[in-house]
Parts: sequence; structure tokens; C-alpha cells
Amino acid sequence: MTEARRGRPLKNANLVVGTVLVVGVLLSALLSLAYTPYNPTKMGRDRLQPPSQAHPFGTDQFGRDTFSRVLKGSTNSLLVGTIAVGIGLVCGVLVGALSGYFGGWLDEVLMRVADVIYGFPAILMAILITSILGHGIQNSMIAIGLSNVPVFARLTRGSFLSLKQRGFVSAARALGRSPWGIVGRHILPNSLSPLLIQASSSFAIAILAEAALSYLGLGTQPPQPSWGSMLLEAQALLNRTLWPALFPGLAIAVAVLGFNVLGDGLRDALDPRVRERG
Amino acid sequence: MLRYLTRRLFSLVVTLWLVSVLIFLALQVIPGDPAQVVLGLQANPETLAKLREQMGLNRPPLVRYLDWLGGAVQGDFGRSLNYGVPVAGLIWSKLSVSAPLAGLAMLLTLTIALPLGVYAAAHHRNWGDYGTMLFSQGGLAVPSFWAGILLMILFSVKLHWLPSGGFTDWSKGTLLSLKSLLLPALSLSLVQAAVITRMTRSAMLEVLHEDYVTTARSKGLSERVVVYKHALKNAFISVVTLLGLQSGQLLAGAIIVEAVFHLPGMGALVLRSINQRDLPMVQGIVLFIAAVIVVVNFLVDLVYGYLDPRIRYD
Repeated sequence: MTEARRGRPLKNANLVVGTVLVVGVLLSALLSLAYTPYNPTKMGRDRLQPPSQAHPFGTDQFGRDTFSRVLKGSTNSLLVGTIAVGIGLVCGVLVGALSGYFGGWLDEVLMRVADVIYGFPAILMAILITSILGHGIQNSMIAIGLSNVPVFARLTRGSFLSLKQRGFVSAARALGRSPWGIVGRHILPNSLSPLLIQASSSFAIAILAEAALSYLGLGTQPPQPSWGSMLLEAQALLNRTLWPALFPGLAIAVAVLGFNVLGDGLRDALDPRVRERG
Repeated sequence: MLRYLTRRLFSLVVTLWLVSVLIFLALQVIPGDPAQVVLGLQANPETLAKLREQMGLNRPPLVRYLDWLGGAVQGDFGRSLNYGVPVAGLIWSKLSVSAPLAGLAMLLTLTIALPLGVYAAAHHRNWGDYGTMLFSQGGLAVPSFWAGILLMILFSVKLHWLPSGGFTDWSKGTLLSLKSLLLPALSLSLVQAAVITRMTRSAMLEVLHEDYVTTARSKGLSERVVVYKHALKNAFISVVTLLGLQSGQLLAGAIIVEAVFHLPGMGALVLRSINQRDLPMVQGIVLFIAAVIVVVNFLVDLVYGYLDPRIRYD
């Protein structure tokens, strides 16, 4: 196995590249909390400027500094991603654990519902949910989070089903441990790596979904900077300037790429089955 | 085969029923009064009460659900509150934009993804492979609406080759209509192609390691015949499954892309209906999309048997 690894230097590159990108996005979000070159919502006199020394990404139609807005937008995306994946993970693990541990009709019902939601496109779900709960950033978090539940539920259920049969779990049961003890001590820790891998991919999807919702005007509301709504504003200006349409999109792509590649890297590192194949 | 078919059909019906329950429940929670939507905020309370009675809003939810379901089974999704016309007819008319858009996007996706995926697998761990994977990672990271904006900048703003939005009706000439669908379809297919390329590549890699491929090679068949004739056909099975699963993503993506290019399709309709609290319209569209997804996946299951004779349905 070590030899196979040495032969594929690019395999671990995923983990390195993904980590670098994700840490980069995290740092810029942290930075933007403390400092942005300009106030991201303050209008100025220099409108629709191309990139320059003073405004590295140029300015928009209200004279706001695009660089500051993109920077601030990263906190928005990361916040939505974190809460949405958090909701998906907590609810998904709970549902999956119930389903996998107890089985029977409960399993049947829960998984049927999960399947229906899973087959339904996340964006459409999110559009539907934001339309019910109303527009805004909190509701897009809830919406994206809920659409994330089935995939985590399926994963957890899968690990529970296979781990339930294993010797060390039977041993724990024979020793008289309570169901909660068995789940918390023996089953859950062993199902962590698939969940971690999925969390990274789900984070990427959540960032995309938040951007799409904001672009459609259902997510983060102006004047708060969000990459999606910045692109919507930029599209209306295409006949006058192209710059505002470039940088927010690039920011989305970098962040999504980071989490996707990190997910691939984690899979390579944690999932023993992947190492065998190319 | 027949037993399998009945079982699958049964689960299809159960799934659709579950979807209908979820949609109905979800939309009951929407704040706002449909009767008020029709009459406007200035309506006097008496007319309002009368209309509410007329629309059956005073009946218990279960009765309304059964009524709606009964109609939906017969293809009657009720009347749109905003347009005053039957929902089913409106969906049908919007399909003349959305269905060709999805079809064209699917076609472009396969045209891009199949050759790329096969090429990458045939040149495994070569620069061509890495390049393709890079394209694929990039495609996964770029949101469809940004891809749309970038394509718009290049082909409409800079080159003036294609319209930057709007739809030319089919009655004005097929070519003009297709022209107005090309950029939206392309932006939709770039993202899809990224997914399908990856899948094609890994399916091909798996197949290329099988014994019958080695046999074909040792028989002295050219690499081209081995890859395209022997391997691709079997790799195609996993690709078809994915195409089925992606059909939902394609429809959802179409909603966003239609918004980008101001196309008067189902996406525009659902967004407007949501904003205007047009409940029957939203219910109808969402149920329709769900039905398309479920039916496509059912068809995919049936296509398996044709593609892989080893699969028997009993």
C-alpha cells in the first residue's frame, strides 16, 4: 500500500490543495470581520471603476469597493454553509441512527421519506422552503440544511447497519451496555469518516445553493454583500462594465473548488476502499 | 419481468403519493390567504368570505387534499389564482420552452462529457487525464448562473453572435428559437458535463480492467475498437443511471438558468407564482417536476435490461 501511494503523488495533492483553498477562504472571512479596505455597504463617488491600486477589484454602480464586498461576502457564504451543514448533520445523524439501530417499520418510513426528499433537487427544495418561510439569510440556512438531511441520514444508517453486526458491538451488548452507550462509544466514532467526507462536499453544495438563492433574490437581502446577489447586480451592468461580474463568481468558484477538492482528499485519505482503485 | 414491473410501478405510485402529501403539507404552512391574493388587499370582507367559500378554503385540509389529489390524478391541477386559467394547461404551454432547453442541455452534456470521459480513462494518469479532471473540478465549482453570465459576456456583449436573453417563439422559425436557447443550454450543460465526465471516466476505468477487455486486446483488436466498442457499451450502464439521477438537477438548474436569460419557461413561472402566493400553480409545478424525476428514474431502470443482458428482472 505504501508503494502504491508513492506511485501517486497527485493523490494527496487533493488534500493539500483543498486545505490551502479552504483555509484561504476561512482566513479572508476572519479578516473581513476585523478589517476591510473600505466599508462594504458605504456608497462612494468613484462608480464602476476598473481594478486599480485603490480598488483592486474595481467598484460597483454605487461606488462601493468590490474587493471589500467580496471579502465580506465570504463570511456570509461560510456562515450559511456552516449552519446548513450543521443542521443536515445533526438531523441526518439522528434520523439515520434511529433508522439503522432500530430498523423495522420506523426504518421503512424514515428511509422512504428520505428517498423522496433526496430525489428532489436541493435548489428546488430550497426555493420552495424559502417561499414558505420567507426570504432572507436565516431561512436559506434552514432550507439548505433541511435538503441536506437525507444524505447524512442515509450515510449514518448505512454505517449503523454494517457496524451493528460487528463483533465488538455484539461484545459490548453482551457485556450489558445500554443502547445509548453502544451507539455513542462504539458505533458513532466508527461512522465518522464517511460523514466528514460528505460534510465537505455538502459545504460546497451549500455555498452554491446560497449563491443561487441570493441570485434569485430569495437569500441574503441587499445591501448586505452576498456573492450571488452581487452577480445579479453585475448582470444588469454588463453593457457598461464587465468587472463586477467577474470577481464574485471567481470567489464562489474558489470556495466551492476548495471544499470539493478537500472532500476528495479526505476520501483518499480515510476510505480504504478508494486506495485500491485508480 | 412482469412481477418486477408491477413492483416498480407500485413503488413509483407510492413515491408520487408521498411527494403529493409532502407538497400539500408544506404549502399549507405558507402564510397568506389565497382569496386575498385574487381580490387584492382592498377587497371588502363580504366578497372575500364569499370567494373563500367558493374556492372551498373553508373545508378541512384533508378534504381539500383529497379533492386536489383526485383532480391531479386526472390531470386537473386546479386553476391558477393569478392567471385564472387551468394550471395544467399553463404548465403544458411553458414546456415548449423548458423541455427543449433541458433536451438541448442534455444533448450538449453528452457531446462534451462522453468523449472527454472516455479520453481521460484511455489516457489514465497522463496529462490528458489530469487536464480533463481539472476541467471537471472547475465545472463542478462554477455555478450555472455565473457560467451563463460569462457566456453572455463572450457571445452576446463582445461577439454579438447570440442574444443575451429572451426567447424567440417557435412560430418565428425553429432556428431562431434554437439560437435563443443555445447559451442557456450551454451554461446548464457545462456543470452537468463536469459530473458526467467524472462518472464516465471512472466507469470506463473499471471496465477497462476487466478480463474480457484483456481478451479483446490480446485478440489483436485495435485499442480504438476495444475502448469504443467493447468497453464503452458496458461503461454506459453506470452513465445512464447517473443521467437519470441528474435529470432532477437538470430541471432545477433550468429554473435558475431561465432566470438568468429571462426565458418564459417553467422556472420563471414557478418563481413568479411563489412570489405571488399562487398556491395551486406552485403545487402543480412542483408535483409535475417530481413526477418527471420519478418517471425518468423508472425508465432508466427498464433501460438497464436492454443495455446489460445479465440483468434479469425477477
